[in-house]
Amino acid sequence: MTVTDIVDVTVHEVDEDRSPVIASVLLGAGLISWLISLTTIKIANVDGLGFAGAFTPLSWAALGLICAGAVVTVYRVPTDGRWFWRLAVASLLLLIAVVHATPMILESAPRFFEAYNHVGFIEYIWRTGHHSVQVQNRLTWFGAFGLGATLSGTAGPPALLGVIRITPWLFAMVILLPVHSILRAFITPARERAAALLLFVVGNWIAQDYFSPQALDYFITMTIIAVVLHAAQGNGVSILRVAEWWKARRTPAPVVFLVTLMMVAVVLSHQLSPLMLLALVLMLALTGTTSLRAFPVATGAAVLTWLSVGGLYFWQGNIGRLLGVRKQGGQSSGVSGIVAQNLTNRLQHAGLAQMVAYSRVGLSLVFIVLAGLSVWRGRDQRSVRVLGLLALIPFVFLLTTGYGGEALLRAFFFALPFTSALIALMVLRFRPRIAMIVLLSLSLFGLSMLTEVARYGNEEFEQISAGQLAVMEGVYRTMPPQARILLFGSAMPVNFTGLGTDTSRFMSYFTYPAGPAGWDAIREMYEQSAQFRPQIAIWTPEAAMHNVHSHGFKDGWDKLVLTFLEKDLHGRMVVDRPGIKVMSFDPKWNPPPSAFSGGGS
Amino acid sequence: MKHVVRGRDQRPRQLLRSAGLLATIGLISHALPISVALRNLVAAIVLVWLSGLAGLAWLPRQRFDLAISIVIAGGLALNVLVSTTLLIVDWYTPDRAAVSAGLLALGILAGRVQWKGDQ
Repeated sequence: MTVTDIVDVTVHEVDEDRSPVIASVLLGAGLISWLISLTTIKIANVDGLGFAGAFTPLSWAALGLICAGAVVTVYRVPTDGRWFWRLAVASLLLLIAVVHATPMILESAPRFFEAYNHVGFIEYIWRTGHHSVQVQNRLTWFGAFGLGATLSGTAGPPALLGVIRITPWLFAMVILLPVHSILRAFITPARERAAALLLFVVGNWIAQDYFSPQALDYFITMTIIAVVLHAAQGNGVSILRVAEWWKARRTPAPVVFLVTLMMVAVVLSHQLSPLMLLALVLMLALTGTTSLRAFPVATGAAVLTWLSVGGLYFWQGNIGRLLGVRKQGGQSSGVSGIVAQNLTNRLQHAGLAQMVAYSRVGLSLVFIVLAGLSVWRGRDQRSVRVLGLLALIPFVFLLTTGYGGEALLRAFFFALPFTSALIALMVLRFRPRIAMIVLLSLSLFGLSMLTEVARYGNEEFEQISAGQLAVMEGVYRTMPPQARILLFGSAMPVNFTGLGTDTSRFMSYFTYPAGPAGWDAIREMYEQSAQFRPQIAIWTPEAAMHNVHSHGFKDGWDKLVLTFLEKDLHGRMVVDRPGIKVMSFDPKWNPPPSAFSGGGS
Repeated sequence: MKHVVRGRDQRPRQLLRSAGLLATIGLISHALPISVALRNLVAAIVLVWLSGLAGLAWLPRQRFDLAISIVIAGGLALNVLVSTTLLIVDWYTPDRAAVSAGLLALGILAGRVQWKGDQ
């Protein structure tokens, strides 16, 4: 032992007694700074970097203090005392508060347009008692929406706009329960588990935890994995020793009953999540981590059954897309298509948008590379190898589907509990020297900053103002029966009520033979708008911008179309605000300005 | 050891009592002069918790993290299945789904208590 080591060990022993106090002070200072900073953040300062652009120095200081408090807790607070888990939980909750609750508290209306669609599906089921795929083909997987209608409408009409607001924050907290349970099956030391939970919170930039079926399925999937790991443990013999592996099968009836119930709910609620569940339970079975053998088969059969029967309307005519053999309607197919749509295409932006894109790829790469390094270092341990396989398998499974869009992101999200565990195992090998604690605090702070940018970097088109929401509520309250509504894009709060009582047409989904930026795209917009014979047209800057960012439209396209609608189709402005414009083409639709009151945007 | 065994045997019965209490709270909340949104919130929490207890009764004692996860995920899953079934057979209303899920959960719990008693 060197002199430095002796000094360090002595400092470590002396400091350990004071470490709960130091951690408490750091976390308390972080909490107070954050609360004060909430009064200084101006929502108008949200820019291309999202909420990160609006954060004040005090907000960043709060985040830094909380990160330091968390690292001190994980490294120095004795685990055999009563303080460790109290401080660890406080660190997690504060980190979640700053990263996820800040936008929730400050924004004037709940964010993210997709969540409004989901409210609309729930309201439709509540109102009609049906799940018509003719109205919306996403109602093929209506399990979660039926659940929403039951839970939110047993005592009157659903009131879910407030639920949209708190869902990401609530999810970020409750998901830690099954994730911790999973970690407990692989990792005994409390420090490593606490560190893994911190990394899980920081690594969750995917934004799949909004008010959606996939968030519900993620929670149920992680609970299934936790139940399987604890209540149907295997003996560790992998399929490489096939006879022994098969002999070790055990099927405890209560466990099978419970996980089957939950698995069927996952299958009925979302397209992609059951495949991720299948991937994870298959890996647990093949590695002998669980004694269940038939459960992956049952999961696969349930997925296929629902796809064949319930999902018929969804895949009829699109079987090629599902199997990943051809391109259609902007959705990618095949491995190269998926990677292009998820990765390379997303990097082709400029300015701040490019910074956001790079922060996402960078954050993901940091997690993947560090997890890979951890597997390499701990390759002689069975638990590390299994964690490595569980982190890898969601990516492998996504390649077998033609599901484009956000498949790569979702694979990363499903791998996150395991990559976080692997990184925690590696990082906790460092000796808890002062310099190391400072370095790790700075690293956690850096990762948290990246997460804030990566997670909320799309605020410019994901944000919804109270004024826009009030106008949309006014439109749905006063519109003519079976109105034809032309929408400039999907990034606006639409269809959250009265689904099926109007016909909505999105310009994003017009047919563009040469692409939405092609030589005749504007003419196609004019022609298809006129053919639709709209009674109402609605524009928001977010919708126009979203089409540029996500659908390949040219900058400024919306101004030309607005002029065309006003001049050539004789549209009359009913609402003309910088944040939203509503045009009427129906001489009988003359709502008073008071119909849209509720603030300007 | 005797205590542990006794505790395990008693658990479904304790959970059934909790479920009865929850069902009562749910029913009482419907009669209270509170807003519809609040009444829906109470109903949702009661229904999920009640249904989740049915799942928890099947497993031996679990630690806090897993037990709460099972209550939430199991409760949500049972309500997904009941809602989906009623939608498929074209008999869905939120009230029917809530009552069916609640009764099913109580039935599963009572069945578990009976089964434990018979063993």
